[in-house]
Amino acid sequence: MTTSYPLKLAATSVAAAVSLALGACATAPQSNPMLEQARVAVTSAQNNPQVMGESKVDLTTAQDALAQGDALLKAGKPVEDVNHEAYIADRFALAAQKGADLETSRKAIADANNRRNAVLLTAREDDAARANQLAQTKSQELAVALADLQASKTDRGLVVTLGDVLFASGRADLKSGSQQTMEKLSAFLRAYPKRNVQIDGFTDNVGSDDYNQSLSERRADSVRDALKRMGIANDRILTNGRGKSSPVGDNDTASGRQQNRRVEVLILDEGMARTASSDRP
Amino acid sequence: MKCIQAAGAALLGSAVLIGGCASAPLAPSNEMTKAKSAIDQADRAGAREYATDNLNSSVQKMAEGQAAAAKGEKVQSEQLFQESYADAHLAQISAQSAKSAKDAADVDKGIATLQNEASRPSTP
Repeated sequence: MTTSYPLKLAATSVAAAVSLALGACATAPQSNPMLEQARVAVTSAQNNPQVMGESKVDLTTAQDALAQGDALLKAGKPVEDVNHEAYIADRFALAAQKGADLETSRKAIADANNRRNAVLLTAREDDAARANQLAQTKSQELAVALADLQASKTDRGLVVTLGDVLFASGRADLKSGSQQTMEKLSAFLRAYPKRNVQIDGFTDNVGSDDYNQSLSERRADSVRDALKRMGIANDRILTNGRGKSSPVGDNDTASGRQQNRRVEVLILDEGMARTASSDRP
Repeated sequence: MKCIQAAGAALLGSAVLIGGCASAPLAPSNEMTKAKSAIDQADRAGAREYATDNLNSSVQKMAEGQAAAAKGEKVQSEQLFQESYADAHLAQISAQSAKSAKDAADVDKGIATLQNEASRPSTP
């Protein structure tokens, strides 16, 4: 009996140790505050319809950890282990929510970029419309001005013809009747400072070539001088004497000869230099 | 003598039982590496500025996990590494989310400015 005592004691201590160890598990509380906090977070993430895609993966991790925590708690496992699962569940539930927020702002940025592009496009269209409007207005103004000048379109460009009647016979100086036409021409050149003119003088075939050449030059110069007096810069004007070349009417008739005695003011296109390049071919 | 042996056996028995309660340990290096990598990613995502608390918690758990590992507390260290990872992951996403929200607000502000400018007709 006395010899068996230590054995009995040993058996008792084994039982005690076992029951202590088991007790540590068995007496764990059936409710765990961290687990409940995690459950709130997981439920909230579950109820967030924006949680999808990558966030859904985090939510699944959270749900699995929560379920694991519940199982550990139910099995009476140590509170540290339950808390660990609760912690993981809580963090991943929050990550799922943040991921949903991230996706929402990414979409907002994409939408905003689209809106910005739309605004830019509208602005560009408005600018283009305004520019077009302006161009149309300018074009209309030019058309009106040219119509007023009675400029005609020829293969050389816009030509204002100063007829024979504006010059006294055999003389180069402009008659007073030419005043209105010259004023319109100078006004036009002031309004369109980028347009230069080429002034060509022509005659009929009466008289010597030298005489006609000289007369055509002087008539062209006369028109130039008139424009200069009206404030048009000399470097915008080129003059040519063309003599009896290039008749527009029949030199055998009086009316044809009258048509041939003329000065043509060629209005050059914008920016075109007053060079001989625009000469009649 | 027999008594001591029996007591030793009892202690061993209880140790086994306690061990049975804890979750199965994972490869330590794996969990730690995963958490460290997540911390790096969070840092790169701007977590220092946008998710300071989560990042700090992650780093703290990493340190505790390493300390536990050094003491041979394998199970505990693994749990701490996992928690460190969870914190770092949350920190990364929080930082990305905060930055993205800020960007969205900035873009909105930019559009408002643009619309104001666009509604002003440019002088010809």
